[in-house]
Amino acid sequence: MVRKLSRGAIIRGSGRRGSLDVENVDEDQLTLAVAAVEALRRGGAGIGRPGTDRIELVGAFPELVHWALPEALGLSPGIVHHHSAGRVGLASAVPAASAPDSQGSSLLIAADLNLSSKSGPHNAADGAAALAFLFEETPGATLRVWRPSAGTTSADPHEAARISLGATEEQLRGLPIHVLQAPGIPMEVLRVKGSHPGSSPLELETLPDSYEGVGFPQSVGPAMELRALCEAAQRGEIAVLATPTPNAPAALFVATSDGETRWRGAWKGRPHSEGPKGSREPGVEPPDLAAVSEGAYVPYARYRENLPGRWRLAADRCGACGHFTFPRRARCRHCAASDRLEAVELPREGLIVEAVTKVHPGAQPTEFDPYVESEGSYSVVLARAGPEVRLTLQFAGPPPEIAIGDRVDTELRRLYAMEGEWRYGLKATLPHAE
Amino acid sequence: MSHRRAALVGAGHTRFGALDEGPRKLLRDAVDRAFESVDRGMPRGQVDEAFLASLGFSGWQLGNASALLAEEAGTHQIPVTRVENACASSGFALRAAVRAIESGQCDRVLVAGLEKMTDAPSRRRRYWLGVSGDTEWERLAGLTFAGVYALMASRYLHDYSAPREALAEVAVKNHENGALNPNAHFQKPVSREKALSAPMVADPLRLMDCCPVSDGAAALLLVGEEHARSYTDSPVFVAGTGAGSDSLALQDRESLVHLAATRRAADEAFRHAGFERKAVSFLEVHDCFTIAELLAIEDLGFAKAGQAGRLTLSGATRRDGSLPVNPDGGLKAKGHPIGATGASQVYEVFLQLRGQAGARQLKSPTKALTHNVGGSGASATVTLFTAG
Repeated sequence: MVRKLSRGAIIRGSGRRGSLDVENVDEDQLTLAVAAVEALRRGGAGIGRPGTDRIELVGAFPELVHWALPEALGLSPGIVHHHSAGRVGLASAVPAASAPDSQGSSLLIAADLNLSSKSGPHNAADGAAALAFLFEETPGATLRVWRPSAGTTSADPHEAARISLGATEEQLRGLPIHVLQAPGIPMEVLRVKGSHPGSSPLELETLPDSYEGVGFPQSVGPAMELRALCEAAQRGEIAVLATPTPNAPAALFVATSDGETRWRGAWKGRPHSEGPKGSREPGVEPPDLAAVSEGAYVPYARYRENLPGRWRLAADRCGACGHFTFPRRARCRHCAASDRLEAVELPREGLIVEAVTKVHPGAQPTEFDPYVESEGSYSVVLARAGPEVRLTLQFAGPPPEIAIGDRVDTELRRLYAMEGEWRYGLKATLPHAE
Repeated sequence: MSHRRAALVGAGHTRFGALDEGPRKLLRDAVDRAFESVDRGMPRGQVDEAFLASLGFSGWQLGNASALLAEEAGTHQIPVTRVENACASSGFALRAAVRAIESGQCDRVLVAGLEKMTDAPSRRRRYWLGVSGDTEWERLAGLTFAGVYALMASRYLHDYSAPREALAEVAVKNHENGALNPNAHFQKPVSREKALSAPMVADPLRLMDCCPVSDGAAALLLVGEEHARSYTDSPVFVAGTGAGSDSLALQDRESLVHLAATRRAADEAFRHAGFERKAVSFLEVHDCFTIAELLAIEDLGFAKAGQAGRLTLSGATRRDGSLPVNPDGGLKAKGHPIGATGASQVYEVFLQLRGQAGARQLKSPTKALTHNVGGSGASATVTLFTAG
C-alpha cells in the first residue's frame, strides 16, 4: 500500500533566493544553520528543550558547532551528530533523523559554503545555503532510505522504488514516479529514460524554478533535492531521488508517508554570484585573523559566559520585585536581590528602534576594520526588547532605511575575529517575511 | 557654608594639539606654569599631596604613572595618586584634591592632567578611543564614542524636533572662541556651511561635531582658604563639587537624552555651594561632541529639556550672550587630551574670574561652573567656583 505524506509544511526561510547580488560576509555554516532553524520556528515548528534531542548536521561545519549550535538554539548540549558533506552525509543523516532512538523530535540541517579563492576571514562564498528539516516522530512514520549494496542493483529508479517500498508492480501501476534532478548536478543514472516494463513512463523532472542558475554548495544541493522529494510526496506521488556519484556510495531516498509523518523544512540561502562586492580580487591575501585582534579586549571566557544573553537574549526576571535585568549580572539591578532570579528569554523579533546611527568608515572600532574595508558603512540601532530592556545591535548588511519607531528582527552573525577566533552575536535585520 | 574651602591659587596649561613634546615634557611644562602663575610664588616643597589624571592613552606607562608627576613636578616623595575616570579623570582628580583640603587632611595640593594621544599610529589611536565605553555590548555592536553620541543625537533630534543647525551652531560658536585661545588645538573660525557639510562620521554627527584627538597637559594648585591670601590677592574659591555615575552602556540607562550622572553632580554641587544657577556667570561644559553641549546645558539645569538647541541658536551661549558656554573653545576647538580636559576647564575659570583671559575675556564674571564627563556619561563631575 502506498501512502502519502499527510502533512509536510515546507517553510521557506528568509527570501534571498534568486537574487544574485547578495553577499553576507558575516555569515557562515553556523549562522546559516541557526537562521534556517529560526525560520522553521517562525513557521510554527516546536523546537525546544526538552523535546528536540537530536541534531543531524550535513556539511563541512567548524568544530565549534558541537557546542555553539545547541547554545544558539537553546537546546541541550551534546546532541549534535555530524555527518559528512553531500549526498553521502545525507544518506546517513536522514535515517538517523527520521528514526531517532528516543521520543523527541530531531533536526536535520544541511549547510555549506562554496568558498571562493577570494574569501578572506569574512567569507565571500560563491554560494551559501542551509536547510533545516524537523522530524517529529510518530509511531509508524517512515522516510525510507534505500542504499543499494554491492551486488544488488539496479540503477533503475523505478525498480529501486519498487524494492524500497516493498510494493508490487501492480501497486505501482499507473502512479507517476518523479525522478528529481537538479540542474548542474550530474546524475548519470537519471539518464535512464523510457518506460520500465509494467510501469508508467518515468518522468524526468527538474527541481523548481528557484534552482535555475543557482549553484548550491555540495551539502545543500542534495538537501534541496530532499525537500523537493518531500514536496512531490505531498502531492501524492512517489518521488525517487537516486544519487549515484562515481566516487561515493549511491543512496536512494524514497519519500512516502505513513500515517502522521510530519516534515518541516526551512531554508536560508545565498546563491552563486559573480563574486563578492567590494574590492577583493583573486590572489589578494586574506587579512590575518591575529592582525585584527587589536581592539577592546573581551576575554574568551567572558564572551562564552555571556553567550546565553548575547545569542538568545537570556535575561533575569527578579522574583522579588518583578523587574528584568539584562545583561544578566547575577543580581537584580533594581532591588539587588540575587536569590530569586528566574531566567527568561526576551523576544528576538519585533524589537522597536529607539535610536539609530550609520557608522561611516573611520568611526568604527578597529576590530571592525576588515568588515568596513569589505562592506563600507554599517548601521547600529538601539532597540527595545521589552519594557525594561534595550539592546545595542549592529545592523546586518548595508545601512537600511530605518527610523526611530520601526520594527527590527535579529539574526546570529559573525561580529569579528579576536585572537584567531570568530566572535558571534545577534545583529538587527529588517523584519523577516511572515 | 561652614566647611573649610579650597582656593585655587595657580594654574598652568600647555598648548593643546598634535605636539612634538612627549608626555614628560608636557607634564613638566604645565606644572612649571602653574607654579609660575602663583602671584607671590609657592616653593615646591610646600605641596603635601598630588593627583595625576590620565587615561594612559596608547599604553605608554599604563601602570604607576603617578611617579611621572612626582618626578616631573620636583616634589619627590610626596604621595601622588593617579585618578582614572576616562575623559572625566581630572574632574575627579580635582574633586579628590578639594575634598582632601576641605577635610583638613591637606593644605596644599597639586592636580595635573595629562594625555599624549598623537604618538600612537592612527589604528592604535582608534583602538584607545573606544576603551572607555562599554566593551562587551556597545563595542561588540560596532560603536565607538562617536557612534554612542550619535545614537543620543538621533534620539534628541527626534524627541524635541530640534533643528540640525543647533548642533552646527555649537561647533561654530566654540571655534569662534577657540580662535581667541592661543592654547587651542584649532584657532580658526568655522562657517555654518562648513559645519553642516563636513564629512559624516556617525549619522547625524559630522566631523565638525566631534572634538579632535589632542596632546596636552594642565595643572592646578589648590590650598586651604586661610592660606590663599599669602599666595595671591585674587584667589578663586571652590564653592562646591558634585559627582555622579551611571551605567557604562547607553542601553542600560533610563534615558537616551539626558545624563543622570551630570544631573546628580550638578544638584550636589549647587547644594554644596549654596547659591542658585542664575548666579553663575558662565559654563565650561564637556562638549566632546556638539550634542553633548546641548545635553549638558539642559542636565546642568540651565535650559529645559529640548530647549538648549534654541538657546544656542539665539546666541545666548556666545561670549557676549546671557550665558556664555565654553569661552575657551571647549573640547571641540581647544582640543581634548583626555586626562587633561577637566583641569583645562578649571584653568579657563582661573583666567576668567581673575580677568586674565585676554581677547576672550568675559565681562566681569564672578561665578563659574565646570562640567567634566567620562565616556558617554558613565561618570561626571561638576565644580562651582567663585571669585575671591
